[in-house]
Amino acid sequence: MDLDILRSELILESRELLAEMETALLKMEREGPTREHIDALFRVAHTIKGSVGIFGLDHIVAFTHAMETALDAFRNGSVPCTGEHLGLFLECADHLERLIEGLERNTPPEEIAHDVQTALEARLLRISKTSDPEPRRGASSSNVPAERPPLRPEIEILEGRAGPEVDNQAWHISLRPSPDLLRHGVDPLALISYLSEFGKVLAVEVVDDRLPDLEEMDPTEAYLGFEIRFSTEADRSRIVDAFSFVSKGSRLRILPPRARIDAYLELMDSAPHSSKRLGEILVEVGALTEQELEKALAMQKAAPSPPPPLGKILVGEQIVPPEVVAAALDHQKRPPHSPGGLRSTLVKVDSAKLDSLIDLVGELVISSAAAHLAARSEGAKASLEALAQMVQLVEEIRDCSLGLRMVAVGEVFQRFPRMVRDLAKDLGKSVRLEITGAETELDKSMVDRLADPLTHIVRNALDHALEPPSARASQGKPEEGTLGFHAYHQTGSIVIEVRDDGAGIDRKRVLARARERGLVQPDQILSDSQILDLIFQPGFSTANTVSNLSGRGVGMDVVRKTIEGMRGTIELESTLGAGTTIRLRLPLTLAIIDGFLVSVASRSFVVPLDMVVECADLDRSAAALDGSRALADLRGHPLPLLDLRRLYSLPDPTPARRNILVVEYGSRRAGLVVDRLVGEFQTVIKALPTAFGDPPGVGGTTILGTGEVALILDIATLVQMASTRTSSGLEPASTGGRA
Amino acid sequence: MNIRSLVTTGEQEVKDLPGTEQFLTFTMGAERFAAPIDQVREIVPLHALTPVPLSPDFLLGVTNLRGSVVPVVDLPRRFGRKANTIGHRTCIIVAEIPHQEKVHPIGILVESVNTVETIDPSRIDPPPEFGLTLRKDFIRCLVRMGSDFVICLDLPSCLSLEEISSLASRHQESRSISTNPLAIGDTPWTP
Amino acid sequence: MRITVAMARGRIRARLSESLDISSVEEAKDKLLQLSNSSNSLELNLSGMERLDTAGIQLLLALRRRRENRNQTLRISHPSGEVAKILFRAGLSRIVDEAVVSHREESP
Repeated sequence: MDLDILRSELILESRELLAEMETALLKMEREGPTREHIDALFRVAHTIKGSVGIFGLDHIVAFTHAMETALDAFRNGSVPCTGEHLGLFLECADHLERLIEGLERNTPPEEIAHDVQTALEARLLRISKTSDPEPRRGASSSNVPAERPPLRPEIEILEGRAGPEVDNQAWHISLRPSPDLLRHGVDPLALISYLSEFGKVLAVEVVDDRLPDLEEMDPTEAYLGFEIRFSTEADRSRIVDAFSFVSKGSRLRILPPRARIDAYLELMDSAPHSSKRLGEILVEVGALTEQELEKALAMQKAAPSPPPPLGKILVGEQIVPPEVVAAALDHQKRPPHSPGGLRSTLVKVDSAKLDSLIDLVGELVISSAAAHLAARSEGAKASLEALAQMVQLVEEIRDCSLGLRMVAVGEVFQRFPRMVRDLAKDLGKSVRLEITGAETELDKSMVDRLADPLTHIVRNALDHALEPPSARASQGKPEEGTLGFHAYHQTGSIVIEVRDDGAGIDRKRVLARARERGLVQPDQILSDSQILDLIFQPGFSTANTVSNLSGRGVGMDVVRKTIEGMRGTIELESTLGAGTTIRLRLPLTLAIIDGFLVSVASRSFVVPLDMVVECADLDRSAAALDGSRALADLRGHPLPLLDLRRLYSLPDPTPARRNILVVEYGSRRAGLVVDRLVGEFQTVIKALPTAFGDPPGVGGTTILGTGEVALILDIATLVQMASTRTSSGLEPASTGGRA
Repeated sequence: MNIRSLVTTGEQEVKDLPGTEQFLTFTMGAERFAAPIDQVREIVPLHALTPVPLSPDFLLGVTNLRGSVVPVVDLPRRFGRKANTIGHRTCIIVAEIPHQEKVHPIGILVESVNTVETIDPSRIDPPPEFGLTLRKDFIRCLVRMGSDFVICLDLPSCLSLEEISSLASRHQESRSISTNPLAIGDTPWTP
Repeated sequence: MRITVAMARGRIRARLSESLDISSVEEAKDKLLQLSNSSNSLELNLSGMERLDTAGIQLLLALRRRRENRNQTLRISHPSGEVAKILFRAGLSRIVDEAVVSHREESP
């Protein structure tokens, strides 16, 4: 019995439910409360209460119970649900999240904001207190869905009181799991093997009368029943305890040794369609002898319905009419987050397994390239044809397996509705959130890394960009500001735009602040894009007041670093008075890129293809500068050059003809001077081993078709090097600079 | 050549016979060295080496080990001794070095691999306190083979990634162009 | 879960390996149904299976029943030691048609 798994399932499920609750609450705030939403809230509180009840987490049970009671008051119409109430429930959701987190970290309940809980419970109580003392039960009960399943499994101990004692020293345990037991991570077989820790399992028989045809079955539903003969010195509470993790809706009947025969009869009775079969099973597992079975069946015939009241001890919390149980079970079959919707068949896979698959596919890409290369150099025509087909397949496999790691970007957006609401409230602003393209997919590992930078951008927008309603009104803008998240694919990248219709960036203030901070010399003249670029400098903040929201050390410089760390770029567009757009452009995957292969001094280097603008000859008109740098004239525009041979002190003699690879990063261009342009190829990125530290301009490594390792150039750094005036004696020649 | 077929597949570890230890002996910079066999993963022939720019000279470059990119070092250079000469018996000993909770493969260039020897503990001595030409923490022990003493290296210490990468970073700092992240006022195409 | 399928003269031999449990039964159901629909003679080799749980067992039982109802043969063969042990515990050793090792619980 793996308690930990159950517990983490509980935590996971509760978090999903809480997210659902939050979505419903925010929607109610916008659109006003509806019966449907209140029901959804009730269901969340109720389901969590049920699940935590199984674990005996009384503090959470108490809290969710208080929520339920208050919600009930809304449901029966005795108290109208107001905006204030919605705020209270948002706070409750937060507290529940804290409780769940405490559960995850094993924090003792009394240490989890106990006073908050007490205060919230008191506020919840006030709602139900104000409710009509005589709720219109008759009217409301008919449309209250039957969703009060027992919190614990239904456990009956049948001792019987009529007929002779069955001559048997063993316990008989009959288990009928609830349909969702397996999905809750409980395996009855594991429970059975747990029994052998304090006794001996004499026999087990599987009851498969509920098992449907293969085609119709939902393989995650529990269909099998178990009849278990068990011999132990332990008492019944120990046995009951062993099954305490069996979820609500399961049926467990325990017959002690020497139970009377009518107890077995009742057991058989409860499965009317298969009572004969069950009787046989009882004989098979050794619970009854043939004679005892016959006697029991004879008794059954002699006493037709209604069956006599039997010595029945109910351990479960309440006796529930079977139709209610059935309704409840039916209700539980539906996953909570897609009411009535189709359940998509999802397979959970360990992400490490996916990573190793993608690594292997990477190898496959490399070796198929190698095979292709070899066949071509040998001129083997037949092989080439066969290989062409294989290369095609390999590409499909690659796309397919990379696709496995893709998730919807909406996963990151999820947190923003709540955040925007809370921030706007705190700041006295009115903000509408617009999200498009939430279904756009990108690599899972990137989604995780995007959360922080996006959060920062949102905070900035609310804190600095969007104006208070009065200020907006006086400028003739709608009082409600708009913050938009727009995600879409564009030529092999994913673009995420965060757009606001706020104040826009005031260049004068940015420049003044930069001068104040010594980031810019007083006489320096900057282009518009350079001024906007200042915002990404460490420690830069344009807010007049440092609020408690943004401006706490983490700045746009960190945002840019994070994005660039994913080989992405960040652009900023802003019109004063009209708003700002921040555009993140990210590669679809971190693992495989299209590269452009160049060679310098017979060494191979790879440049990510999406950063290559064009190729050009290096002609003599290029003004040689000091060190590794030079300046070329590209169709009338000056282009800073970086000579890789010199930069990396590569030994071979310089060939007579060389090439320029024009690369672009952000809004800057530079030319890399190389010997030969080899061409495009697809490449798997591998990290440079730790031993080498972080050599400037080297972004990673890759393995070529020949098996040789090539270095991938870090264009961001190289472009910067090419266009930067430096202090280390590498002044650009006077032709390049301005006076 | 697979020295140790032990891969981390399960619980079972290959245990040496009690008492004896196995050493791999090899030649670097015309000098004989040994290393405990359990610190060596495998020996591979020398294929193409790709130098990494702006690295210290003992970091020879990277090579492709069945799809992994593995650094290759010249240990005698690291020790400040005579560097290896590349010949027809040159090969790479791959060691696994723990660093930040991961095991990193590192290649050691050697002029030749000689033997694997099982040595009785009576012929193993701790490193002496003085008279050494090598940093003491690089030496695991001295092994008597015939009439010679062979230095048995402690590979995790010789190849400490913490030390090597900080040497590499220092080397890069001294060699590289400073890259001021704020490229303002000198972008030549700005009017 | 992994299924490797060999087909010869209309007979399908499928080797089910790794796991047949709650995490893989949905996928397994589709595959087994497909296999079941494509041949009258099906053999499932369980020698490479490391994990089997109640969900996996009921899937095998449902497959068996479906084939019995259609007069198609199903042979479940060579359970790994672990699988044999689990089937024994569930009182289902009989569903195995052919075994090199069958499981016997050590007597105390």
